[in-house]
Order: sequence, then structure tokens, then C-alpha cells
Amino acid sequence: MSFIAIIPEITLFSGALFILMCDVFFGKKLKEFFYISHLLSLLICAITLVFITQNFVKTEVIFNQMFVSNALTSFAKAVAVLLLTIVILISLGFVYKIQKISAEFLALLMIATSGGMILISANDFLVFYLGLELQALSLYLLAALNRTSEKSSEAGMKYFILGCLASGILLFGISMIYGFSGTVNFKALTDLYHPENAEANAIPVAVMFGFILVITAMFFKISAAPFHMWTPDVYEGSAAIVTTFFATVAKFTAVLALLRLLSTLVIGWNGIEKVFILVAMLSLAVGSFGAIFQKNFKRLLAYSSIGHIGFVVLGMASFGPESFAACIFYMLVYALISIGSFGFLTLVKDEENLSVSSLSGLAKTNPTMAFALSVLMFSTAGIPPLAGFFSKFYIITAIIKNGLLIYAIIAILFSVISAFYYLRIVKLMYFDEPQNPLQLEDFSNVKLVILISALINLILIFFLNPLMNSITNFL
Amino acid sequence: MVVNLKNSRGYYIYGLFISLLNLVLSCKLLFLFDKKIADFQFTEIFSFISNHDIKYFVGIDGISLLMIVLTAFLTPICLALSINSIQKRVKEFVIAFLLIEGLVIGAFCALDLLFFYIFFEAMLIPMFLVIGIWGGENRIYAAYKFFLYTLFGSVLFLIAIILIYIYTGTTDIVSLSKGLKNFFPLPYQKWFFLAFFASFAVKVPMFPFHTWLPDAHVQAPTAGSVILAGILIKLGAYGFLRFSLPFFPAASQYFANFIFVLSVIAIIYASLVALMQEDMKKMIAYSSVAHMGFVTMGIFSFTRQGIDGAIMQMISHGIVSAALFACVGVIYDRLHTKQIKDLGGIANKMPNFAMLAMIFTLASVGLPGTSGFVGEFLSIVGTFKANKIVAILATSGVVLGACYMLWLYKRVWFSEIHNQHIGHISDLGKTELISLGLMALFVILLGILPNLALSFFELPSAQLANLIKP
Repeated sequence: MSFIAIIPEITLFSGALFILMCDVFFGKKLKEFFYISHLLSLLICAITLVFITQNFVKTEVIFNQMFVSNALTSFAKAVAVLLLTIVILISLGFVYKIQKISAEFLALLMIATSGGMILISANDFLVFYLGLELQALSLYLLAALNRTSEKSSEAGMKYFILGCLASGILLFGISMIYGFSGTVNFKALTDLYHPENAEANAIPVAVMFGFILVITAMFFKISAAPFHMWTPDVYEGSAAIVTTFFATVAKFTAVLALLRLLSTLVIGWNGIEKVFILVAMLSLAVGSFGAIFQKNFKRLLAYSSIGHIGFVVLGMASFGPESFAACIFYMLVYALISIGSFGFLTLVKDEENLSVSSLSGLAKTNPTMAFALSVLMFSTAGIPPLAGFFSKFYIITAIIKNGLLIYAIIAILFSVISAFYYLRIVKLMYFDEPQNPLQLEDFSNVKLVILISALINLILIFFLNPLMNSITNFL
Repeated sequence: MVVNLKNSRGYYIYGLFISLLNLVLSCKLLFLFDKKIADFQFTEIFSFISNHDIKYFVGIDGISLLMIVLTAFLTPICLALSINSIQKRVKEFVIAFLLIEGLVIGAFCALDLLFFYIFFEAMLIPMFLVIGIWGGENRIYAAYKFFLYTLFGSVLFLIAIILIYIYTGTTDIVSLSKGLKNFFPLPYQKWFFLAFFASFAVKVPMFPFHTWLPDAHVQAPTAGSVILAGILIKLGAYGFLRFSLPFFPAASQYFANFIFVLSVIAIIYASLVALMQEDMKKMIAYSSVAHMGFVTMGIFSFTRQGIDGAIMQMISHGIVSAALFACVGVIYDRLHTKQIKDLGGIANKMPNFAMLAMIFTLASVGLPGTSGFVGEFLSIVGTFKANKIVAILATSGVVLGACYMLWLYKRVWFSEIHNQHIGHISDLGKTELISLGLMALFVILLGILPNLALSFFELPSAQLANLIKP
């Protein structure tokens, strides 16, 4: 048995522990320790990335069929670690602010990511659950990190209670599956209920029920409606950098894990697409109508993320490699946009009360940021030739191919509605006069990241070919 | 050429230089273009999304060539007219206009449906900013209305494009216009036609989808109105010619009467509404709706005269309405009002301006000898062959057009001076004189020698007319 397949997770996890240990020994003595731990965590991320790239070419199944590593998982992990690196990179200002607990903060980010990586690689419901919990427990702590803020504690508490409920649902689903099929391994389940021998082994209703419970729990994790209630509160309450982490790394890994679950478990999913369509339609409706009335910028972005998840779930509803590739592409573009737009939040000085209207006149006070943010907003609204258009285009094409025309039309109409509030942000920045100018920090690293993410949104049109081809190859 | 980009004039000079360069290049196309070839010329292909067989494919025929030249002609005029009136955020203004020019030209020469859509949609962004940043008091409402209306219309177009792509496996316009006409059975064709129609009808705009246009025009800055009336709304009519007719001939025929009715309503209703307007820009905006009614009517007559007339009307209206909006801009710069009741007797103080404005007014009315006449006459003749009642009703629109335009001219340029400020105004400056003068020159030139333009699109329009026998 070789451990190579799981080396990246081990590296990241033990790296996190190493930083914690260093904190215990040197944290009090060295004044600049936060700086060292920041650099150290970046270094660990880089090493992890190198290990991941080693795994790209080969497929390995280890630990008695419980853990799998192939091109798709390596690709997903590479993206997750890359996103983590960017998040850590732009967190320097925040780390400086919370010097005393900086090591804990960085370690939690890394542990949450390694939990997400295990989740992606899981080939067994037990590993799946362990990965999910490892990620979720770190996320609860991260949400409540800002101890002095009431809202942050509230966010952590809310997230913890609802998250535990979701975990309970997941465990109940897994036990149903185990009770009626005798196994929790993806491969064994696929062998049992493969569509080709469907007559011999029809899926028992209880097992199907179990699967639906598992998927429901995942819907909670990716904050799809009607399991979205925690999202706006948690996004609002957490520190901006933690929100960025939620929207990028946590969301990306959870969606990829769900996608992998659906693509590895080749069973007769007959009828289950209706669940996905229902959830997708609800998410789109909540995302587009909910955001219109939001006054807080973070809550607005939270609702917008629910709408995006609606698109992804709609893509999942039409099972097939093409739509899964479209979903992955969508998540890549969404993570790209999120890094920019949530990253902008970390620049704001008074982030607790960041109302949408405080963006007014940003084009006068800070033209570069206003330009980058408006590119990101037009891209999320899905206006060509920006990246957001193509992500929607691929999803719509895939689902129309699978005969879900009517839902494609509804989804596109919802995206027109949501264009309204993205336009509102552009309007505030460009058309209105500055009332009380937004106080922005002067972090050049964050600004650079925002600008680069806007730039990639602009030029992604030229790289669609290689990007889509490689995603299709990974699947 | 060294341009000092520090001051606002430098940006204008830079923008003018680029757009004039574009004009020279597009005029070169006019000479290189071979009128005897009906197919697309100067084509270029790059693979864009290979596993979806979507290509970057451009090329032009006679129709798109003239539209490109019109675009390249109007953009420098827009910039030249704004030098004195727009002083804030000049850099962004020039960028927005050059962007619009590039995207419009891209849309006119795109030979791939998805690329057409990308250009068609992308120009919403700069136009939204132009209306919203440099517009009038109520600019935000107008900018939203413009953006959301157009976006709403075009999403159905996008779905139709994706469906066509899924069924045929290509989005290549050349092969689609050859192969698609018998591909779908009639019921499907009708749905596709309606999806395309939703997008183009909003853009043209046809009655009853026209309500965004007056708002957008009134609030937009002068240059924004010029480019909107001159070029952007032509894209809708161009879409009908390039896609609806060749792709879905049977459905086009099926819906022809429906479109006739809408066009006639647009012509008569918009003319009547224009009569009652107090705001000059709003009046000209409604006259645009009426004139575009002639275009859609001509296109759906499926006769050579009708289609020729429609294209001619597109070009003529592109110049004339752009010029009229520019005239309003000239008055607004001096007197800061667009209300008709505040004006009167301008001709006394600005004789050159009054003369040029007279030419545009008469062209808008459709006086023989101006380009407006050729377009309206041909499209009415074409429609007369197809449907006599419609043609007769549409002709009444010409009379109504004369009513409101001449009345407007009388109230603004003649009559007595009510407004004491008019006593102090000066006649046209050099840039204004040159740009308006050039437009007037083309209006008369195309009125006397319509063949200058007609010869370019003889073959494509004959092809379109042959597709469908009414």
C-alpha cells in the first residue's frame, strides 16, 4: 500500500499542526511571529501544491477502497490549495490585526482545506463524513473567530447548530444506506446497483431515501435553497477574509465533492433529477429576489452566491460528463469572481457595517478598484464577453441538450432579474456622487489580487479552448 | 503623433485620430469591395471553442459594409460634437465610444451566431455607462430601462442560438442561411422566429416594445443619442435581414402580416405621439420609431424594392436622425433647454445652422432629392406589391411626419424670439459646421444618386427577395 495518494492532505494537515506547535514555543517570545507563521503557511501550501501535481497522471485507490486519487481529484485539490494560497496571501492585514491568534487562524484555514480535500477524494461514505466534519468543525470556529463581535459569535453559533443538524441528516442517510445494502463503499454500491443489472438489484426505497438525505446534507453545505438560511447571517457575521474563504475554498470543495459523488456512484438515479431541479429553481429564485432588498453588501453577495449555486445544481440535474464539466467550469469562474469581489471586502476598514450604498462614488475616490469591481459585477451578471457569460453558456447548453429546455429559460430569466442588482452596484460606483467616502485600507497585495481576477475575467474568452478541453479530460 | 493625455482635449484628439483612422480603413473597404459577388468577402476564421465547433468567423457583404462605413462615419462626429459639451471624465467617455464603435463593427461583420450575440450584448455595457454617467437628470432610470429591456429581449435569442447549435451542430451563419430554411418544420420555425423577434423587436424598436427608446434618448448625452439612433437601433433591423429572413423564411412569411400591423401602428401611433411632444429630443425619438416602422415594413414585404428601401432607409435614417439629435445638442449647448416652448427665432441668430437643420428636417419628412425620400418611397412601393392597405396606411405616416417635423421647425427656428438668451448666441463653430455639413452633403448626395449605395447591396437584397415569393 502506498501513501503517495494521500501525501498532499498529510502535508497540509501536519503543516497546520507544525504552525500551532511553533506558536506554542515561539509565539510569546517573538514579536513578529505572526509574520513568520504567515510565510510558513504559504510555504506549506506551495509544498502541498507540488505534491498534488505529482499525483496528476496516475489513478490510485488506497486504504481498502476508501480513498481515491486521480486526475479529477488532483485537479480539484490543486484549485482548492491555489485558492487557499490566495486567501492566505490577502489575509496579511487581518493576521496583523489578530496577532495573538494568528497561528490558530492560519492553521484552521489549512485544516479546513485538507478536510475539503479528503472530502473530494472520498470513495466511501465514512471517509466522506470524516472529511466533511473536519472541514465543518474548522469552519464553525473560523466563523466565530472575531470574539469581540456579537455578530461573529452569533454567526458561529448559528452555523454550528444548523451544521450539526445537516451532519445528523447525513449520518442518518448513511446509516439507511448501510442498513439496507450492507456497504458504504462507493464502488461496492455501484456494483450492486449499476443500471446495467438494474433488474437483478432494484434499488430499495430505503437506500434511495438514504441517498436523498445525503444529498440534502450536501445541499446544506453548498447553501442551496431551501437549506440556505444560514448563509447570509454567517457571511455577514464572519470577518471578511473568512467570508472569502467560505465563498471560495469551502464552497468549491463541497460542490466538487458532490459532483464526484454523483459521477462515481453510477447507480440508477432515476427520478432524482427532479430533486435537483426543484432545489435549483428555488435557489435561483431566492438568490435573485432575495438580493434585491439587501442593504448590506456582504448579505447581497451571500444571496448572489445562492443564485450561482442554483445554476450549478441545475447543471447537476442533467447527469452526464458534459454537464459535470460545465459545472466545474462554472465553479472555477465563480471562485475567480469571488476572490475578487469578497477580496474587496477585506479592503474596507469598517467592514461590520458595509452597506451597499456606501459604495457610491467609488469611481471618483478609487477608480482602479471601481473598474475592477464593475468588471466583476458585469461578469457575475453574465454579460458577454466576460467569463461569467461563458460559465452560464456552458451550463445552459448542457441542460438544453438533456431536454430541460423550459428550466433553462427560467434560469436565464432569473439571471436577468439578478442583473438588476449587479447593475445597481455599478450604478452606485459610477453614477452617484460620493456621500461619505468608503475608507479603504492600502493593501497592495489585495488590490493586485482583485485586479488580476478582474483581468482574467476579461481575457478568459481567449483561453476557453484549452481550459474546457483539460476539464473534459480530467473527468 | 504625440498627444498630451494629461488634459481633456488630448483624449479627444486621440479618440478622433483613432476613429478617423477607422473611417479611412472602412472607406478603403468600399473600394476593395467587389459588388459582383453575392457571398461574403474578406472572411477570416479562427477556431474559438473547438469541442463545440464555434469559430471566430468574420466577413462582410454589401449590407454590412455600408453599416460599417456608417458606424465609422458617425463615431468621429460624435466625439467632435462632444468636445465642448462634455468635460468630466473625458478619458472614460472616449474609451466608451471607441469600445462601442469596435463592438458595433464586430457585430456587423460577425458570421458566427454566438459571436454576433457576444458583440450585440457587450455593447450594452459601454452604452449603459454613457447614458448613466453623462446623461440628464433622470439618467439612472433611463439607463436601467435601456439595459434590462434589451437584456430581457436577447436572452430568448441566446436560448434560440443554443437550440440551433444543438440541433445543427454549428453556429456558422453562412452555412445556416443555406441549410436551415428547410431544416425545421414550420411549428418549430415559428418558435425560433419569435425568439429572434423578441431580441430584434426590442432593439429596432417596434411597437409595443419601444418605450425604452424615448427615455434613453432624452436622458442620454448628445453623442449617446447620435450613436443610439444612428447605429445601435439599426442592429435590430440588420438582425431581421441577416437571420430571421434567411433562417426561417416560412415563419417569416407566416408572421409577415403581424409585423405589417405592428409597423403600421408604429408609423401612425408614433407620429401622432411625436406631434404632442414638448421636448425636442423626445419628438425626434418618436419620429425614429415611426421611421423604423418603414424599415420593418419594407423588410417583411419580401420584394426587392421593399428590402432595398428598408436598407436605404436604415442608412438615411442613420444619418438624418443622428444629425437631428446633433442639432438638438447644438441648441442645448447654447441655451441649456430642450423644451420647444422656450425656443423660437433661432434662425435669426444662426443662419448657417438653420439652413443645415432645414435640410435634415426635409430629409426626415422625405422630400424628393433627399435620402429620406428614396428609402420611404422604395419601401412603400415594395409594400404596395405585397399588401395595398398597409401601404396606403403607411403613406399617411409620411403626411403626419411632415406635420410634426415642419411644425417643429417653425416653432424652434422661425417665429418670434421669446427667450431673451437667444439674443446672445453665436452661430456654429468650426467642428460643428464641418460635421453637420458633411452629414448634409451625404443626405443630398444619396438623395440625388441613390445608386451610390444601392449598387452595394443589390445582390444580397435580390437574394433575400428570391427566398420568399409573396
